Amino acid sequence: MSIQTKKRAPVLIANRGEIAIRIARTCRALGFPTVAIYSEADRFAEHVRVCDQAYLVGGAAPKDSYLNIENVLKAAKASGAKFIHPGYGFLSERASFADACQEAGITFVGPSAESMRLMGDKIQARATVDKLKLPRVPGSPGAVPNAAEAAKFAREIKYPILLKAAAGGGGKGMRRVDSEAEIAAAFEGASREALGAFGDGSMYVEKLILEPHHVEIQVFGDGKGKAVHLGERECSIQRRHQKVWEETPSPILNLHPKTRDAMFAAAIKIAENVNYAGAGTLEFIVDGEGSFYFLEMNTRLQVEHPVTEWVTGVDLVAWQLLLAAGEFTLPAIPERRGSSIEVRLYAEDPHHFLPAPGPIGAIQLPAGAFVRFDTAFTSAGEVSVNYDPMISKISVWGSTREEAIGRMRVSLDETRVEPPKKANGQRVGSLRTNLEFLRKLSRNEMVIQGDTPTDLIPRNPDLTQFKDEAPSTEAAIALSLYQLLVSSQETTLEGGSGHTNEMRSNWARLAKWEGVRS
Amino acid sequence: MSSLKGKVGSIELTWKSAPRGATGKTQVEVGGKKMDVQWRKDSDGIWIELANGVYGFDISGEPNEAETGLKFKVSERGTELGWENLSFVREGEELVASAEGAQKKGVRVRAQMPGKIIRVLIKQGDEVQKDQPLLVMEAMKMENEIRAPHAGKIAELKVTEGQAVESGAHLIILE
Repeated sequence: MSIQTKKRAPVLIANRGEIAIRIARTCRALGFPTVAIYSEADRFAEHVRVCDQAYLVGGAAPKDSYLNIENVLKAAKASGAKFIHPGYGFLSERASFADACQEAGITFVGPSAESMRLMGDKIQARATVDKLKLPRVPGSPGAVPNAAEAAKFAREIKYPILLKAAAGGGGKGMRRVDSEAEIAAAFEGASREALGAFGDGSMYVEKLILEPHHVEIQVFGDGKGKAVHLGERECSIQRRHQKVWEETPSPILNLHPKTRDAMFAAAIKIAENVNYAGAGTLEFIVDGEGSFYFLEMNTRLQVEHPVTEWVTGVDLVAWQLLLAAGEFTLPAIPERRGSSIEVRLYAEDPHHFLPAPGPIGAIQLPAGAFVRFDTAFTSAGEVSVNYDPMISKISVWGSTREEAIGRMRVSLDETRVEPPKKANGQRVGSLRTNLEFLRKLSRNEMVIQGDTPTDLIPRNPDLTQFKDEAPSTEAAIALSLYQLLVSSQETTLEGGSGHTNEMRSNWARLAKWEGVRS
Repeated sequence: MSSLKGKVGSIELTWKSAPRGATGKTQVEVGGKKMDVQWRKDSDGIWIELANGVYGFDISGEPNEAETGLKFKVSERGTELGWENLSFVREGEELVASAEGAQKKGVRVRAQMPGKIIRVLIKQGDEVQKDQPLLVMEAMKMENEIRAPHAGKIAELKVTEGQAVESGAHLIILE
């Protein structure tokens, strides 16, 4: 398996944003021509520009374009693509799409449709895990049709419980329920949300583990019954059930090294049992005592895969592509070195984490040794209301966790995302980012100590509270000067000549000079 | 010409002369201390040079609650420092602003993002507590509760269930 630029068949990247750009980079490095797809809302998006070909696949709504199997396959045929890389989200975990690719004679870069069916569906996956006698979180054996049925299971396994969408992910269609009084309303809300997001409102009930840590194992299988692991990632720090800070090695597993070994063994066992092909992630819950429970498998590349790439030196997308092209031999378990952290920069309100998409006027991303950013934007653009509001992922490496945190802190301080502005400084659009939240997070004492339970954010209200502090003298000088400059410009502009103050004074100088000369 | 004397928060500043242009040099008095300032304004904010260093700030404004002017978010470039709701209020303008503000009663609850109102949990005239859910809005495929920013009375309800709203739209006026 060597990475060289030889002529290969084109890869259609059935995704958008940073992940499409990230996949395209590896394709190009390996000599695979690239094909982008885009929706009407993404005509001028960066992922379209970085690919060799690009095909419009439909309207702005995901179901009309990025989820439109027929149109995606049409684009693949038109472009001559022999491979489709689905990225994460969208069609990446739809077995029916893998089937459709096969029928069309195109190689789906991912596991077989069969192992997607076996492991991608949460209820099926639990049956597989039970068969292998691996621990999992107690819950209903299948989907429950209504709140009354959900309450029956909840009584058995005792509150608090979680209601989760059977088809879900990313925290959509998920509710914590602490008592029977709350279950009816929670079921209705979660089920409606799941129906809207996934077209399937079925729910299952799961025991809520206290002091939980979210730890996942990256595996890679050769599809012939052999698999390796590439270490773990801890993604405990979440808001609205969505990950925001991910790292490897896991701080909780550092306290329980035997648990780590047992989880690696369990992950490989599961992957080998289903003849898993390609990159997959086994998600587990680890409690404060170091017990672990299987949660679910993601049969695709994860958003947070860069931290694994940092510590192993493996380009996971390269492995995926070479496996799909039949040029891959599974190596020994890669060694892991140092520590890596990733944060997700979102277009969202930093206090309530509500999505706040809008136009970006200026963006500046960090640089320096051992700093990587995977971004959907390198210049002005617009975070679309139609899709996930993630702007960029920033990841860093350090020889130790402490070093990585220091580097992350500097990287976040360097990062700037500004809305477009009118001449008077008034922002245009509704863009907000979680940048200041991330900056506070990188300085949080619990984070620094490696004490990272899933409820870290609610336990540290200062992370999200707006602090009404007095400005620095420098800030007061800068703001007052800025406001005076802007208002002098407005005064000068009265009458609508459209000339800036500076231009006008240059004209005045020129006129004077002309006057002197004549 | 308005006064060149005013306050940002509790910091009093007096500018020597009205600054003009994208770059320049002037003097400011802060808390009785005179300082030389050079500046370079750009599209996102401003750089200033003081005797002890060069500082850059990103500045963006939005209408203040009374909608009489702008309040600004100020972030120091390359640092974690940032402040919100700041404004340079010139001497003599404070009274005007507060008088205008008094005429516009009530705080507008706005949509933070474009979306659809799927539930209205209150009606006009209701007394609500701080943080009480007022509306459920669906945006980005998530249901989000819009809560009362403070206790008060619903003076005006401007939306109905099922209505699509733009970002920044006024949803409720809370007295």
